[in-house]
Amino acid sequence: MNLIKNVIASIISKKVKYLILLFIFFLLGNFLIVAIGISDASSSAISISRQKLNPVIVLENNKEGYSLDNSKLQHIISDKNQMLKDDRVKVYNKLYYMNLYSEKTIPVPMENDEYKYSKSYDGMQLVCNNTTSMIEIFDGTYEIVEGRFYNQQEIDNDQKVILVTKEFAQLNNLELYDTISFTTFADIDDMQKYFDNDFDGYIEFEIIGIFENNESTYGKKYMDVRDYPQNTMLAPFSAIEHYEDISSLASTKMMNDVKNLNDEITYFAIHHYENINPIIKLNDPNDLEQYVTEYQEKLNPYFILNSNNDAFLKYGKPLDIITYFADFLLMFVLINMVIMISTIICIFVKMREIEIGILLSMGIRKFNIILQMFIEVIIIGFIGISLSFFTGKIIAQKYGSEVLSLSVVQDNIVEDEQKGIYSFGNEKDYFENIDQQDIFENFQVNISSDIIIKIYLLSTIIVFISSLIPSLLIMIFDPNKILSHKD
Amino acid sequence: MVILKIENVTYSYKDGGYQRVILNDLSYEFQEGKFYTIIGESGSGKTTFLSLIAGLEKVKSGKIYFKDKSLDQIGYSNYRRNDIALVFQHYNLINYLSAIQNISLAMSKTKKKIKKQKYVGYALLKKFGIGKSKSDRSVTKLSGGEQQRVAIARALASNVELILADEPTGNLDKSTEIEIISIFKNLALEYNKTIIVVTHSSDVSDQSDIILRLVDGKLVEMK
Ligand SMILES: Nc1ncnc2c1ncn2[C@@H]1O[C@H](COP(=O)(O)OP(=O)(O)OP(=O)(O)O)[C@@H](O)[C@H]1O
Ligand SMILES: [Mg+2]
Repeated sequence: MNLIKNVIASIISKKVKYLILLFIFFLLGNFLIVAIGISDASSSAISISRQKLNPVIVLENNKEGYSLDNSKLQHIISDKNQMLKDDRVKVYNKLYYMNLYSEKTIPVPMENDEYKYSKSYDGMQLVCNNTTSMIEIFDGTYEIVEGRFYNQQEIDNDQKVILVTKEFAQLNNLELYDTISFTTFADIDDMQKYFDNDFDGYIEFEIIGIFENNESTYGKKYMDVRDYPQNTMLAPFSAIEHYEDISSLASTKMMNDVKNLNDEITYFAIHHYENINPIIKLNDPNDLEQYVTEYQEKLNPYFILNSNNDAFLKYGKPLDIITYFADFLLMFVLINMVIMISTIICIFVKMREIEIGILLSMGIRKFNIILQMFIEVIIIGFIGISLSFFTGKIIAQKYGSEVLSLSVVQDNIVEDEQKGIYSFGNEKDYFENIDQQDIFENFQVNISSDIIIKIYLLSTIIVFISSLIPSLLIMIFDPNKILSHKD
Repeated sequence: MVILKIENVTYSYKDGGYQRVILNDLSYEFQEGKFYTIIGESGSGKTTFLSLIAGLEKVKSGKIYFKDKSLDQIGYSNYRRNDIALVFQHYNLINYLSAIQNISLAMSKTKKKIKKQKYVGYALLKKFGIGKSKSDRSVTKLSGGEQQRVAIARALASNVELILADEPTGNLDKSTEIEIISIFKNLALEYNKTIIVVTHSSDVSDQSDIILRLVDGKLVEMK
């Protein structure tokens, strides 16, 4: 109680000195807020940008992979499998695409017929995977509105279950648990003669889920009807594996017949499936770089793990620069704060020598004297820092974006034009493009309560460190020297 | 009863080439409840002696006992906090605190807890002629005599048995000096405090029970 009263009386009596200290705290507080604010804004912009970039890893064949010898191949396959079982993996897609037709249903027509690639085969596209989820489920591209996704049991038992889009179901009056029959042959009548006894060319599925496909068709020119997002269907790979084998056998027979090929090509779906490269999504986007480096080493030189990191590195560079700048500023401010405040307190202590001498002559413990000094400084510090929140925030916002725009590397990138190539055909393009504008928009200096707490904590630590030398000064004070021989 | 026992205390310092002895094998016993004055020429070592018995400086040769315990045993800071009160010519009070706050500071530092601090404080100050309004004033706004009275009130407030003063009336006029001295005298009589005052003034020493003169590094009883 007395301590606080003494602290207040002491502060009031040293108005001018403490106003100077207050001003210094205010000044340095602004720098502190600018540094922490910018640092925080850029690190959150980095993670938002990473998120936006869709942090997936696409495994691509490297040209050198073609000359794989068998022993190496075995090795690589096991590493490839290991890569998918890694704890950091949230979900992966290993997609097998199949074109299907049905006489009883019609595909959802495209909004703009003009860009239709071919008018002949109006089919559906079945996307098959061998896991109980897909990247698109997690990122919200596929939204299940009724029913569910297929489960492990259905995968294991080769059950012919399917998910169709809401639009397709509505158009064809389909409901959950309806069955629906498709063929992979566009001209099934001509194929009949190549079928074995009990094969009729059709495969029947049970609808277990209805979903909305939010995939964007923006920028995709020349699609087929089956590429239209509403004509996507989902099924486990195991459901179609057997059907795919016998239908390709029939196709092979047909080709041999028509073209008179000497070598019969036998096609097994499972072999093809094994060679499909996965697309991987990790639990934590921040693990991306580490994960890629790790497996890239193992799969070298046969595969390339593409994580679109280059795009991030290119566009995210200004953020890295600014983070570096902010951290440097922070260190600079902290060191300066300690030096300045330490010096000021030392001067104060020297000015208060007689007061401290009296207190010591009264037998008051040095600890209590130091504590009082510490509390006085911390009160002033907190007031100064609190005042600087108002101005610091404004400065941080202004200064921050300016520094950000200074660190932008001007680069003209023509990637957008290339994009169309990848989106053509079956293969999906997993990489969203972001540009500098996106990153700039994600850069928001926000003085959140977390930052405020952090700043108060830092200030307390600074005052504590700054008090060390003055405390030492007090420790060596000798009341006898100060009082008796000064008279 | 002996409250303070000085045993073979020698104090010297190096002055240029040779050792200057100020206190020379000094021994003395101070009795409880007595008012002592120490006189002596300027530079004879009075302040030095006082700072030793006040525990402001450690004795290098000899021993000082407060009630049978040496200062080393008690601890110098503890001794100053709990057992004695000091009054100097200048620099007695914390100048940013009011008179009553200075008194409270002295009351709260000791291990003997004093109840109703404020009430006792005001009463004490009143006894020494410092009214309520002056008690609440910053001590820098009090006269020299008033400040010394606050310092003595503080010495009393800390509830110690031994009060040491170094020329407490040094810069006060005659009438104020007499006032202050009568207060000291009274403290010994009424409160059984032991008072040791270093002074140059014969008006002060005349009032004391025992006058000691510091000559050649030794204390000699004059009265
Ligand atoms: N540590 C020291 N270093 C140097 N000189 C010292 C030291 N301690 C005491 N002295 C000297 O010893 C002498 C005695 O000093 P002291 O202050 O005790 O005298 P005093 O009797 O109180 O004198 P006064 O009546 O003028 O106050 C003085 O000459 C002083 O300068
Ligand atoms: Mg002296």
